[in-house]
Amino acid sequence: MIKMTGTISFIEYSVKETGRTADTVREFIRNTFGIDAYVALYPDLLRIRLTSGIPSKEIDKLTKWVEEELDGSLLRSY
Amino acid sequence: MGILEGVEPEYVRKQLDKLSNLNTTLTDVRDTISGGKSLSDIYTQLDVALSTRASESTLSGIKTQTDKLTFDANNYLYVNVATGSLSVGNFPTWFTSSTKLTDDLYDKLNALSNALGSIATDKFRVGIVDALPAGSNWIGSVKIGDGTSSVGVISGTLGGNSVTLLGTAPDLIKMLAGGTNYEEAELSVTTTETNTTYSPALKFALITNIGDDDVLIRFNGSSATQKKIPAHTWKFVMFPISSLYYVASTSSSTLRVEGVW
Repeated sequence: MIKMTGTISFIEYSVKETGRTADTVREFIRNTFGIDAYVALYPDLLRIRLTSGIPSKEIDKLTKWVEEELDGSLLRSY
Repeated sequence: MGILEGVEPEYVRKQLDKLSNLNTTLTDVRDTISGGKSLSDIYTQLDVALSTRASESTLSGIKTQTDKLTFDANNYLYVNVATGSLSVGNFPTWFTSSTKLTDDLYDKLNALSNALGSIATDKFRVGIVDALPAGSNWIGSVKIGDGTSSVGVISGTLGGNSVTLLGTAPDLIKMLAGGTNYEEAELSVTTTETNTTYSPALKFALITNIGDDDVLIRFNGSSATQKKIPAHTWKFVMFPISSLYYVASTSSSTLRVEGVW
């Protein structure tokens, strides 16, 4: 039985139409943090569920990337 | 009686003539003997007493030994070291120990050769990996992937032990159990087609048109066939959805999408 021991982090960003896909966001997360994520990218909303919790400082990297690539801003995270 | 004696003058004269043929001077005799050197010259060469020089017997003994030396065609000396101690500088203690023999060194080298020869590639790998002590073994920064993109690494518990698992897909237990990652969103639909993407794809989803206008949707591609979701109806999609395109038929509506990863 495989039991997840990590804490799943949830992050939401407001975004603008950029032509990006959820795959692009997920790939960035995997390459940057080495963990997987469930990503839903709507026309004005990016919702991310990380499979493992990461420090808030690390999430800053993601936030900065979303700001640059998706013209987004952080709504909430926990 | 007195007797007189005398030499015949002619005889005397002949003898004297012989002496006159001796034109060689003492100097000539000396030079012939010494090669033109004076006795002084010869003396200066005798810087030490002849008695201090090796005697004939000594020289003979030396020759007897040197005659035993043999050389090859290139005038290289043949050498055979007889049984016994051989003292050579800067050798390790073991090598110069009187209790160690060259056979000991050979035995060790032979054993090493046999050991190396018995190590195949797989044994070498197993020998290293299996020999690692339990616990943290730092190997350094390692990337695992297809050469371009690294895969995600997740932590988990396996058999009661906390281990690091490799995974590129959503965790298996959630997939096998139908997923517990629930995604819900209400999408504003206008007459301009837009889309939503999911990664990984939603395994299945319930799409409900909660508005008053019909909505046309496409699954997994902007060129897919449009399907209509009439107002106030729903569709349950039982295949993975990585992208959902939607546009209102007339004016506007709202789609509620409830999916499971």
